[in-house]
Amino acid sequence: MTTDKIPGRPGMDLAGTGAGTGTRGRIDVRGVTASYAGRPAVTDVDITLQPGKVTAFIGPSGCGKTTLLRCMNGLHLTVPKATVTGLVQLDGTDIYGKDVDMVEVRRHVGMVFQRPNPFPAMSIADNVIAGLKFGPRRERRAARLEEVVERSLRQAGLWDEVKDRLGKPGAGLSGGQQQRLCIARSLAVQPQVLLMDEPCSALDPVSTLIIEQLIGELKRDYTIVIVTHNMQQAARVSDITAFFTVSGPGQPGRMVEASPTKDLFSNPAEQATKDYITGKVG
Amino acid sequence: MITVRPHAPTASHVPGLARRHATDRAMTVLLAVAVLVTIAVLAWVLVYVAAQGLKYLGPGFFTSTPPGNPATVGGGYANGIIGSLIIVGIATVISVPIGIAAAVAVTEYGGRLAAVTGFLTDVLVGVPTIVIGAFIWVIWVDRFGFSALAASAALAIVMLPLVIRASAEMLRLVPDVLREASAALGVTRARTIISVVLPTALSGLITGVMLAVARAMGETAPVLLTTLNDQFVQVNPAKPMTTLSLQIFTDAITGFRAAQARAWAGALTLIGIVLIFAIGARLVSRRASSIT
Amino acid sequence: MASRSSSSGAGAVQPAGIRLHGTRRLGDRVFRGGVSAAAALVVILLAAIAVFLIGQGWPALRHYGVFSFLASDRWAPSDATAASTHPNPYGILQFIYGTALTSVIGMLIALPVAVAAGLFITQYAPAWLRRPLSYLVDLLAAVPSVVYGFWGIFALIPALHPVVNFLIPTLGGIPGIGVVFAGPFFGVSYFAAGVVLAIMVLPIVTAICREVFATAPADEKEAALALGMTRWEMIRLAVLRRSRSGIIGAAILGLGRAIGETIAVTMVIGNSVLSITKSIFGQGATLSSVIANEFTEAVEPYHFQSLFVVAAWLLVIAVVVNIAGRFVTRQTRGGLV
Repeated sequence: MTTDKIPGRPGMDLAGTGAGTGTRGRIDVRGVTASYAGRPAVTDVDITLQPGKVTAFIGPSGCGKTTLLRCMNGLHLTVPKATVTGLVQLDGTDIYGKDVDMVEVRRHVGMVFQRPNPFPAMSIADNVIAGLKFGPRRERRAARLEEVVERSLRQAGLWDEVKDRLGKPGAGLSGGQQQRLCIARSLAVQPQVLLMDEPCSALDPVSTLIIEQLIGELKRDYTIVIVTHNMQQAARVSDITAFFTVSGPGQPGRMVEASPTKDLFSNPAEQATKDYITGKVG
Repeated sequence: MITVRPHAPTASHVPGLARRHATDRAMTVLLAVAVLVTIAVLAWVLVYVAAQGLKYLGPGFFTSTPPGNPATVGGGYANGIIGSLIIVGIATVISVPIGIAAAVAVTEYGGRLAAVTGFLTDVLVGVPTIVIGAFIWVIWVDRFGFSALAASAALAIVMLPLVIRASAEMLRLVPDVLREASAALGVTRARTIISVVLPTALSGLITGVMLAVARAMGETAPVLLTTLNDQFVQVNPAKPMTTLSLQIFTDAITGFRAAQARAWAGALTLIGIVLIFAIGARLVSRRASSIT
Repeated sequence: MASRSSSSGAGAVQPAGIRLHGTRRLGDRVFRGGVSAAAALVVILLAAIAVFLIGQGWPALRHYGVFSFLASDRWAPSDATAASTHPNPYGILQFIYGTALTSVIGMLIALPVAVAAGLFITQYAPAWLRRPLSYLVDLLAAVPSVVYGFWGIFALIPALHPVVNFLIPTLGGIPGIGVVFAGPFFGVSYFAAGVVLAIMVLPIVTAICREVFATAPADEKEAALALGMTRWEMIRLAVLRRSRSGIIGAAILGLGRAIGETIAVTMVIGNSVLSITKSIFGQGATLSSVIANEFTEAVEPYHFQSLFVVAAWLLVIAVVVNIAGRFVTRQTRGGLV
């Protein structure tokens, strides 16, 4: 799978693809606490999201997994009175820094949401290239849009199913197809990181399987973070798993531990993790 | 001594139950009658206007103009119909972009200006249309004379709060996830609004505009103070131009049968035009909700 | 490590600074400026209306004194001379009286019907019937004012004659208030205007009542029925009692609509402007009807300016009533904000 260079996007190294290129698409989270109107939702998180790997956030509801995810592309701050403290770095650059344009950050950190949300007023093809068409003019001119449509849809594993009806509205697809369309849409702007917020929770098992396979292929070229309620999914799909929990009712969430997935599920370091994965706690 | 009655729950055993049921039935009938009376009045108005109007209405009504002397039989309201279409058309062109933009400011950006605007829009809806006509008289007619443009300005002010209200409602219906998805792609706020939010709300916006147009076509008071009624076809907006509503008003209050006959035909035509827009708006919104 | 927070607007994202795409930032700013200007226009418009109306009426206000207009119910332009400042020949009390009287008659007729219709549509009618019924009632609002006036003259007033001819001897004979119901009745009258206004405000009042009644929670209704109440008793308890402020709000908003109505009223009220006519079956005028009637023929000294004083008062009254109505209904309806 090749990733063409998109000319006109300075500031980030776009050369080449592949796992283990080290610094490309690495997110460092240091001491991050995210709050809504002064009440913390998740506190003091330290974790590194590595390129070429899938990291899963698991844990019971309400412990801040999605909140933390949304801190990585700045969407957390779009909620009124939301605050975040700590450091979130993309390849060494503080994304909340003074000179950093969050709109630009989001070209490098993409997001797929829980419910598939193709733009209803656009066709399938237009949905895929929406990020490019309405983005900076430089990228629009440089990329050949039809090629982008095909490449992105192939990457999302959707090309064969929709290649004959690219002009039809996105709403006509099944749930699983719509979600893959949203993945294609995010991939079209060529981010380095893909954040996925429970991407399969609204889908049937067959679509879920297809998307899990997709994640396995995509991780070669992207840093992937997936929030999931489904422990088995985390075990199937991820290389590193981070377990979150709340210390008590009404308390903010915290990250308990983050380890290679095999280790976390067979021999967790913390008791809380063990309780969760053995089903002692819900 | 207390008599314990068997607890059969029939009306004859429970005191007052029969009366309560009777009240209940009576109220049901009364409420239904209220609805029927309302619909009957609507039917009365429509049927009466149709009956009177059809006596005089013919194809010639749309192509001829009124006679110079109102007592003369014959003629039509071609100039008023054309005038209404031009004047309301210009008013629409003025009020719709401003109205949708203001609705965007209120729903997408919020803040204090938006709150004040929202409140004042509701206030503007309640301003009597004759007052708006008087206002335009002061700032425009006094200086530049009666004209179609003045009437359009007055009608634009009448339409503006309606467009803002309807548009804001439609914009609010666009799910937030779509805005988030667009933001997550790195699209700027302005672009998100222009390319995602507005197109998604489009059919609702059209419905709102059509309802505002229907309302404007029926208005007489703002036009009364800003333009003049005459019997000539006029297409130059800088000149005075009559409207259908103004012609009906002027002819209806004369004592002449001939003028009144024309006015009835005009009234039927006006109701017809208004209903076309109002029902058309319903159809647009129904088709839209069946697609999404 | 600094703390970052969002700005107060919903959905606002304000990362500081420009990096590579300064033009994008500018485009966003221009766009926001543009839509904000449109919003500001509404504010400016309302202020301008008030300012220019008062400005146009100012010569008369200065000549006769601001409150002299409210001190008299005699509107006699022919009495006006350029020099004399007292008494004010342009007393507007009877217009305020006319506006109030016709609007109140309209609401007295419309409110019970609207509440009844709203109850029937939301609580009694089967689901498939609700939309068509609502639509038909709403259609009353689509009929233009001039058509209502025209129909009022030729269809309604003749139908009112037998009703009024019955009421005059019965109510007119009551000592004391009988004078309010005295004849003669020539058709055009406060009463006829009130009936027309009732029909015109019915759709908006019914629509608000419908909204209010529809929010009554189903659990409360079921609980009432489970206690053994008849349907009507349940409605009185679980629907009407909690809807009180909504109904009052609907009434006030309907009143506001009636106050502003001009054309239909001026066609059926008789336009007698000299002073207050005591009987509701007599002819009169309202704040709006006198403006419509005399605007083009106001040649006497200060006549034209006095009409703007009337317009200013009409604006104030209508706006105050509308704001009061919105204030009362704001918990039950959406409103714009």
